[in-house]
Amino acid sequence: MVGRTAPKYASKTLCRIVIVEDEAIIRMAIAEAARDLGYQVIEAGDADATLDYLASGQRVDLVFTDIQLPGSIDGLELARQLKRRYPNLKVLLTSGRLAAETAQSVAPFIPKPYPVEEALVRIAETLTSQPSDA
Amino acid sequence: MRDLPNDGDERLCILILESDIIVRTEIAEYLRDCGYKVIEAVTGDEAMIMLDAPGVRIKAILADVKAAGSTDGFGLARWIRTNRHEINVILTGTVEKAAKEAGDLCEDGPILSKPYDPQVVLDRIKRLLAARHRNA
Repeated sequence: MVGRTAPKYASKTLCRIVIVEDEAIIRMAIAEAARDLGYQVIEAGDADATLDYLASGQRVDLVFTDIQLPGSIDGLELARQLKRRYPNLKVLLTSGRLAAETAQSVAPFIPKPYPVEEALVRIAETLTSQPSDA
Repeated sequence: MRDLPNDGDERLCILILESDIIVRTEIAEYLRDCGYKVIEAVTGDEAMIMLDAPGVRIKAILADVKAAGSTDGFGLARWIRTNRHEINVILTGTVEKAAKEAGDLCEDGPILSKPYDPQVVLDRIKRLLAARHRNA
């Protein structure tokens, strides 16, 4: 934690977020922490599964995705496709390799490694941001 | 708030190995609504990693026999039977040919077929855990 706390939002229990991460332990940790805060969390191991899930018609409010992913597209391309197909869907990117400037041109970004609490703060902030904030 | 299923001082933890995100999410959510702590593995390789994760005490595994990765549900079940036999394994899938092998691995009857009723999954896990507790 870096001196910040996750904002308390009354609607948190209604928010559905997808965490896209191929490192199972990292995904499990952030997913568990987000569920503890009241979020409904869907876990995906790659971008293709995320797109599959959204194509099923399930409502999702935010996708928090790593950029380096297995599968047909990476997280950056996933973010681009999501913004195109689902304009109201919020996206938060993370990476341990890519320069922040590159990612932030597409969506909000948090560098790896990140404290779980910091990621939760960024998720909450991104959920309440305006589309133009990205 | 209702009481959670409990084994000592911690919630019963179930690992779901299922590569289909919709199937996995629906079953996991159902089990969470029932009070279980649920962790999710997309591939057999992820399941193996989670089995070694510190602080994770898995009581039962719900595994798709056709899960992606270098280890599928059958392989995981074989590994569990040899190395972590205290964990109950429930295999799920649609492959008829797998029934005999699954029956050998699951002591409590035939494997489930997709699509499956989450209540059936939950009942099976509770029954296996209760049976093990009785025999401990």
